[in-house]
Amino acid sequence: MEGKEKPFDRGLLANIVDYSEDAIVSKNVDGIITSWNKGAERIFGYKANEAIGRPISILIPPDRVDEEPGILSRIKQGERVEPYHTLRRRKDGTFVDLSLQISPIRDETGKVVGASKIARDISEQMRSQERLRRSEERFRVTLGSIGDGVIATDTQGRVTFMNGVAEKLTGWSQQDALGVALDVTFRIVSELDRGVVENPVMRVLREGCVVGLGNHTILISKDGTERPIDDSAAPVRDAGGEIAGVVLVFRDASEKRDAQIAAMKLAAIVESSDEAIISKDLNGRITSWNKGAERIFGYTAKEAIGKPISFMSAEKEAEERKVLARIKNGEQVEHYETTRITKDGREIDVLVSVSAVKNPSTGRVIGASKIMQNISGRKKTERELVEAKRQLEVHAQRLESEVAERTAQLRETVAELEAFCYSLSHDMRAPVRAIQSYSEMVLADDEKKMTATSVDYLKKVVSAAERMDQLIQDVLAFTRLSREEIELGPVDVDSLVRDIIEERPELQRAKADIQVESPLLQVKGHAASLTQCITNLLDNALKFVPKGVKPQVHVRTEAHNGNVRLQIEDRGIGIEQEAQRRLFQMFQRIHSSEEYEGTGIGLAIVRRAAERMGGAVGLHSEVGRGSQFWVELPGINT
Amino acid sequence: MNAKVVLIAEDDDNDLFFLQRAFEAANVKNPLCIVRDGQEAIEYLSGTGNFADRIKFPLPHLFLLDLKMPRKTGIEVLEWLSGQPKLRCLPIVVFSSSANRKDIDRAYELGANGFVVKPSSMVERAELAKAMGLFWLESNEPPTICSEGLVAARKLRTECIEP
Repeated sequence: MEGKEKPFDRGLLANIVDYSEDAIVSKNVDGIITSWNKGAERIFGYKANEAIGRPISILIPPDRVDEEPGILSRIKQGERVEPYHTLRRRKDGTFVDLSLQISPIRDETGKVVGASKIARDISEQMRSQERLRRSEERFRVTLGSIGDGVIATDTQGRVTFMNGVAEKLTGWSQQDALGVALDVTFRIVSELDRGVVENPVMRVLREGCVVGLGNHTILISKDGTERPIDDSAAPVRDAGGEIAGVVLVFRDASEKRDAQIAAMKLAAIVESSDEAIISKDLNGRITSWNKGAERIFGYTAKEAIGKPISFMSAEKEAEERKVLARIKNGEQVEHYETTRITKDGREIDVLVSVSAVKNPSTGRVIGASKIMQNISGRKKTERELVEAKRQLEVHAQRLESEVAERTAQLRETVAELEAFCYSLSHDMRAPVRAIQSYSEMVLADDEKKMTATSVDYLKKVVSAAERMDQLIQDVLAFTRLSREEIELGPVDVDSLVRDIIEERPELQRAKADIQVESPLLQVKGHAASLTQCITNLLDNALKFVPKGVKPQVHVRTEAHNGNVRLQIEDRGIGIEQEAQRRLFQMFQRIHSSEEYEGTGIGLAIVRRAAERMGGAVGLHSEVGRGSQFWVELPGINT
Repeated sequence: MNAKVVLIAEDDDNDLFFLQRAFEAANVKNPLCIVRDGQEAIEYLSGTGNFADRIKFPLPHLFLLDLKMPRKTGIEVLEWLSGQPKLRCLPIVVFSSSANRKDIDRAYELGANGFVVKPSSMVERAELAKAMGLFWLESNEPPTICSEGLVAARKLRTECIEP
């Protein structure tokens, strides 16, 4: 059949045309529609009878009316119009994307008499193309805006895409990097030995699977900046499953690495700590156990982790539960001291501080951490201290009771002494008084009847009795000074001395030359006691002069380191150096009674009185030139 | 019997004798009634026992009281006296061998009108007797109880016996 005049099977052709999905339309050279198949009806909405005989321009949108004359002229010249994409209008006014192919129709003579148009509805195709374009755009935007660096390569490992983050991290712009081998744009070394790390893309191409980089990878950017990165590479496969390229995703791991380093440091601290640092979950199961815990309790981490916290000291389970319950409630737990049993059975004292472990993102308590310090040594010292203190208290108590006992004894002695003094003053003075008085009476009544010797003896009895009585009174005065409470206050020494001199006949000008350097300074003391001192000192000054000499006495005061020194100076017989030391003691007499009367108590009274007033006494003396006695008492600050 | 009586409570024979001699030497002629301890002094003053006869044993215008005596001390006598509303105003001079601060203060607290340390020499004693005679027995105006005499003393006796 070929090469022959083509015997068209018109029916078959008509069928093909009619049932084609495409619109097959013919028009004459004037642009009038001459045929209209079912496809055209479906695409354009016009029935054949509505379309045939009408100008083809009914299908042409107003903005494309210029298309038709060009096409028609080309057809008239016998040219074909290759399929092109254009837009046509349906009967309902909507537009439809078409792929249009136009061929001239010739008659038997070969003259162009019209044109056939095959129009394919490509709306769906156009839409899917648009979708693809959009999807690609979205993909590009997504990759561009993703937080990670993304690089895509072809199967040769050459860069085909690079997003903004990748540009930043590598220092390459996508424009510069396109087509450049990944080895150049993505330089990585190992953080540990700075050895070259195998390019992940190559491994993906070789192994055909997802590859993650090892840790400790450092990316060196184009300007030499180094950054730790995390990355992974995956193959990109085409529809047929063949590897079409590789996509590499990576990120700056500086922060993560810093955090890791910080965490490692913390972990190292925990590990190297002398204190036991333990963590447990909310069920009281041990989740971590550091070296300190191993050292203190003797259990290794392996032995301890996973066990209930109470495994060491079963009897402390209640305590553990209570503490854990408080932690769960979000309560703060104060430091507390308790005990634990070590693996080798020793009981040790520990100081425990417990704090909650929280989930960093939710803030919920997920467990507890415990820091335990072995304070056995400290506790031992404390116990020893307590024991030492107790012993000290026992000693102190014993001492106290001894003191109390001795004080009681002393009180008894003092009481006895007082009783003795009381009876001394009453019972002993009575017989002395009797001796003196009867002797005096005998002398008064019968002197004329007695011999001169008897009279002399009797007079000696009287004077001895007098001296005895004086002695008793002096001893009493002395003991009274020691016993009686005195109150100290300001004493006007000047008027005190003047009163004493005025009241005593033997101190008057006729008998003694007493000079007072007025005004005498005031002192803090006790008037009665000071009177006794001054009286005794004046008596002495007057007494100890050579026979027949009128006593000369000088009284004055001197400020002396905040104190006042009252000086009583005589021009008497003076006192030997040797005797001066024992002068202020009881019953010390330097001269015989025949020479100078005295009981030997006067100066002891002076010293005792001065001491009771918080003062002191002293003397300066030269034999033959006189003595200077002084009493020093606290002064009055004006 | 309107003479002003001096009551002396003294246990020591010698001291009593010296005191009597001193009043003699001072020419004080008032009657001296003697009791030898504190208990007797109380009996005398209350008019009981051997001292029921108020004509023989009238209330004194001056009471010289030794402190240290057997049975009842001078202080105890003063304590008793301070509990007797009528007798507490009797002029009393306490005699003692020593100037014990406690004794002095206690005596005055209990109503004593004087406190004297017994002199040792005859001369001093005579001067003291003279001074006391002059002051207490001549210059001083005694309380009613001393001058009302027997009537008051009788009344007093029943009060003292039946306290």
